[in-house]
Order: sequence, then structure tokens, then C-alpha cells
Amino acid sequence: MRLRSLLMLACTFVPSATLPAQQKIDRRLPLDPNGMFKFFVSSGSVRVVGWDVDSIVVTGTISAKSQFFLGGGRQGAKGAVEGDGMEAMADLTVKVPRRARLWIRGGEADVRVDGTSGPLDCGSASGTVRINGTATEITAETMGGDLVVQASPDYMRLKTATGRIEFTGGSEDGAIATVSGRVTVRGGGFLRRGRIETVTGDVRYEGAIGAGGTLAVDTHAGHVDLVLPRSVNATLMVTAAVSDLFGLRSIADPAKAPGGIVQELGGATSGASITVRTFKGRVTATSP
Amino acid sequence: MDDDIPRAQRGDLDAFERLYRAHVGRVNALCIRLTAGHGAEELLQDVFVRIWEKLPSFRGESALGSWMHRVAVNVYLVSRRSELRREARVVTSDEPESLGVDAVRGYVTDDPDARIDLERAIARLPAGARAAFVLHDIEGYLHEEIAEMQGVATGTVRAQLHRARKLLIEVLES
Amino acid sequence: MTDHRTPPDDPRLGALQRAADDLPREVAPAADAWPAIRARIEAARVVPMGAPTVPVRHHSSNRWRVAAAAAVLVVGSSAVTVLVMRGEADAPSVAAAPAGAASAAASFSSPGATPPGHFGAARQVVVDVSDSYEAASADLERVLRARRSRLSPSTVRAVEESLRTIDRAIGEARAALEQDPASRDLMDLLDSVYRQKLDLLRRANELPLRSS
Repeated sequence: MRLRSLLMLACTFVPSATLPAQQKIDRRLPLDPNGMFKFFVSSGSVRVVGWDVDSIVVTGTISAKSQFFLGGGRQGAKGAVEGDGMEAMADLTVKVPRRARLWIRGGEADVRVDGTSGPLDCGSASGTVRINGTATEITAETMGGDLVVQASPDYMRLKTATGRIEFTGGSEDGAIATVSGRVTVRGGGFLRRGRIETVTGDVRYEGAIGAGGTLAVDTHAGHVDLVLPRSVNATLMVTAAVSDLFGLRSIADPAKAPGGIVQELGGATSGASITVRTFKGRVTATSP
Repeated sequence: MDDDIPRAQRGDLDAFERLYRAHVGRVNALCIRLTAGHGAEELLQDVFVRIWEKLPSFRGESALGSWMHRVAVNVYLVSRRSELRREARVVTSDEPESLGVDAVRGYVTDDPDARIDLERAIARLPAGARAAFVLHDIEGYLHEEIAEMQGVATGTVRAQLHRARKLLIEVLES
Repeated sequence: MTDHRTPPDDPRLGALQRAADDLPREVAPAADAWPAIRARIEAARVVPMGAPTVPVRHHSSNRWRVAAAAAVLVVGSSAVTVLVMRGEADAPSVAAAPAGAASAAASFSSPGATPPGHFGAARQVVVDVSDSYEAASADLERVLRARRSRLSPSTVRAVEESLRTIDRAIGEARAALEQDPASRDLMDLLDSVYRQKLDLLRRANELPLRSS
């Protein structure tokens, strides 16, 4: 017993000596303001920050056995940290021209993008992706990681498998898809065209809809909560086993409401429509 | 290139890729305009998979590009049909302008300094009016051809086209 | 498709027409769509009719059935269209849905009475649609199995858990459709879940692999 304790004690000190040594990274590359930049990190974390300088600067650390690459011209450049698992651990900050077109991927790495305004395509397999900025187009996806976006892009596509999706802001045209992740939309909402699809993930939509806009929510088993502004002007169509729409509770009776319930909100003169279908979930609609 | 058609018809994917590369620009322009840019990538894929399927039935009576174009329109219309039926349940106003012009005008006045961009204005049209305008005024189809493809009366196409033009003119003048 | 337009009397229309004429006739795609198109053709085994060199996966020799199924793959969310366009005679019936599906399915009932002949045909379309998606999924799942050992364990967990969730949902939706095969909403939901499955598999197969 004493021997085991001694061995355990010894082990607690040994790892710090055997942790892979780190390499410091401090690299710079010129890039045009609208240039394209692609960056891949296999694990760890990467934070991409937009700045008003026509160059890319990568700083931070990577583990000793991983390889770092950065190259390209003024119109397009790419960089990567590659290696296996923990051996490819990176903790990097990448500054890029604010309006650059970005393609960022993290294998298992967490990805964070702040303050960029150019088109953004980023994702991670199992890491979390966070986006905060003024990008006009955003495409982001993960498998297991969460996706948290605070922006108001004209065009947006967000996808996960099990990770939750949280979008705060407004978008002219947004689509969100997840299998079991929870979806939350707050802020302006989808003004012209919105589509949310889940299999079992719950959906909460706190937002508006523009004149003539369409919002469609399809989920197999998720619950759907709509929190619509009092001024909403749209046709609401709900197909669900159980619904509670502005206090009007309904349990589906196909003889009375074949094909679902239709409510005209605010006169429904704007041409906007909100369609919600859930096979096993319930639907609620309220106003704050 | 001429050899590529019979090769692709026999199942040669490399030959089909060359046909794809030769025609993708024109088909893509159509997809973008019909879908208002939203879902255009998916439609483009759908169209070329459909073209691959139907290629053996191509007999060369028209140019391959025109034939592809027709397939693209059909794929778009089929995919839109269920959506159109759903929209028909919603739209109750007899004055189409009340549905579309606010969205179009709203978009423009949101950004008063911006030059009015016809492409973007077309993209803001209601779907039916947009399809009529794109197919008739840009692509040159006849009213009757569009009506046949859509399975609607010629008068419906004329009405949609009139509506599209009216909305666009209002935007151009605003 | 010819230019048959006559000069309009209204100058505003003329200006609009000139502007329309000036629009570019070709626009290159933002990203090369060919790899995805090729993958879809190969994964779905969508072969040109009359091209005998590539095997067809479908079980049935009925051309309409192949066409209906292929159309679903091609058009994406057009399962309903296939359903509506079908109007043929009865096809073999399938097992009744479990009781649990029935209550949830109540809200998705198709409006009006379904003609008996259409009922069976609609059921068959559901089967065909599912078969087509399953065939495409099976190919992608084979690729995923081959890559599985070189994906991170957490990614594998997320993908496999999601596939189980999706397959359960497909089972439930299909059971409900067996009771009401003409339900447009149910068909749309089934279509949505199947598309999610294909998309998930495609995305999983595009993930970068660990080097050993």
C-alpha cells in the first residue's frame, strides 16, 4: 500500500516533465483586404480576429510534435496545424484583414471568430464554434460541438448533429439544421426566409418576420416555442399533436382541423407566413 | 465535345463532367435567378443529376444547352410545386402588389445609397412572378411554353409577368 | 425558346427590358459543384436509363417505381410531388402502424377521404421513397464505416448517436404513413429526416481524418 502511494505520488510529478514541449508561433503574411484565407487546426483552440491591417498574423503555441504551415500570396493564403490528437494541440490567435473571405476548420478544436465582416465558412467536428461579428454571409457547422452565433448576416446556414445552435441577431435568409441539438433564435429573427429543421431537438424562436417573409419549422419530435412580437403580421400554420397558440389550447382532432391549425395574426395582410410542423412535439406561440 | 454526349449517354462520368463544365455557367445563372439565390447550389446539383438521368433520352433535336436549360426549369418547377400549393393556402389577397411591393421597396429603402440592382430586385419578387419574369423576359420563353411547364393557364403567366414588371418598375422608379 | 418580344409602348417597360437583356447569361458557381454531383450520382446509383454497364440497385423492375424513387433523390423535397403525381392501381399493403404512432399521426391526417385505390398506391410510393433513400444512405454508411477508426471518438459518438435518433424518427414516421400514406405533412417530415440523414453522412465522410 505504501509502495502504491509512493508510486502514485511519483506519477503526479512525472507527467509535467513528459508533457510535449511547446513551440511558439509568431508568423506574419500580407493579405489583401478582400483576400481569401483558409486555416485548419486539428485540436486545441483557435481565435480568429478581424483587424484593419492588410496582413495575417498568427501567434500562440502549438505542441512540439505538430507541424505549422502558413503560405500563399496577397489574394489567397492558407495555414494549418497538423498532427495527431493531443500531439497536435494548438492555442492560437489569428488576426486577419476584417473583410477577408475566411474558411476556418477545427478537427477537434474550438473555433472562435470575432469582428470579421467578409463571407465566413467555418466549422469543427467536435469542438465549439463561436462567431461574433458583422459577416454578411455565414456558413458554420459542427457535429457534436455547440454553435453560437451573434451576427446579422444577409445569408446564414448553420448545422450541427448533436450540438446546440444559438443564434442571436437577424438574417434576411437563414437556415438551421440539427439532429438532436436545441435551437434558439433571438433578436431580429429571419426577416425574409427562414428554415429550421431538427429531428428531436427543441426549437425556440424569439423574433419577428418581415413582410412577405416565410419561416418554416419542421421537427420530428422536438417541441417548438414561438415568441412573436405583438405587432406580428403573418399567417401562422401549425400541424402538431398538441398546441397552445396564444392561449388557445388544442389537441389535434383531424375531423375538426384536418391538415393543421391556421391563425391569422395581426390581420395577416403582409403576406408573411410561419409554418410549424412537429410529429411528436408540442407547439406554443406567445407574445412577450 | 460532340463525342462526349454519346459517351455520357453510355454512362461515362468523365465525359459528363466535360459537358457539365461547358454548360454550368448558363444553368447556374438560371438556378440563381429562379431561386433568388437561395438554395441555388442545391438546385444546380439536382439539375445536373437529373440531366445525367435523362441524357439517354436526348436525341439532338435541339442544342444540348437548350435541352439542359429546359431540364433545369422542370426540376425547379417540380421542386416548387408543393411549396406553391402551400403558399396558395396562405395568400388570400386579391391585390398581389400588397404582397410583394412592400418587400421590394422595403429592401431598397433600407439602403438608400445603394444603386438599384436589378438582380437583387428580381430576387425580391414573389416566387411566381419571379419565375414568369426570369423565364419570359430574361430567358425568352413564350407565355404558352411557361404555362405548359408550370401546368397553369396562359392567363396566369401573363398576370404573373405583369405583376413582376409592375413591381420592378416601381422599384426602379423609387 | 426564342426571342419573340416586341418593343413595348411604355418607355419604362422598355428600360426594364433593356436592363434584363444586359444581365449576364452565364454565372460561374461560387464553388465547384461537380464533386458533389458526382458523389450523388455514384452514391445513389442514379444511372441513365439505357446505360446497361452500371448496375441498378432497385428491387423492382417497374419503371415508374424507379422513376418515382429517383425523382425523390433528385428533387430533394419532392416526395409529395411524387405522391400527388402517382395515381395508379393498388399495390401490396404493409403492416399496420404501432398504436403509439396513431395518436401523433392524428394531426397529420390528410384532408378528405383518400380513394381506396390511391391509398395503396400512395403506400407504395412511401416504400419506394424510403428504399431510394436507404440505398443512398447504405452506400454512404459503408464509406463511414471504413473511415470510422480514423475519426475522433467524440465525433464518432455524435454521428452514431445522431444516426440512431434519425433511424428511430424514420421508423416512427413510416409507421404513421402506413396508416395515412396520403398525408402531405407526414411525407414532408419523413423527407426532411431522410435528407438530414444523407446530409449528416455526407458531412461525416468529409471530415478530416487522423493520420493513422
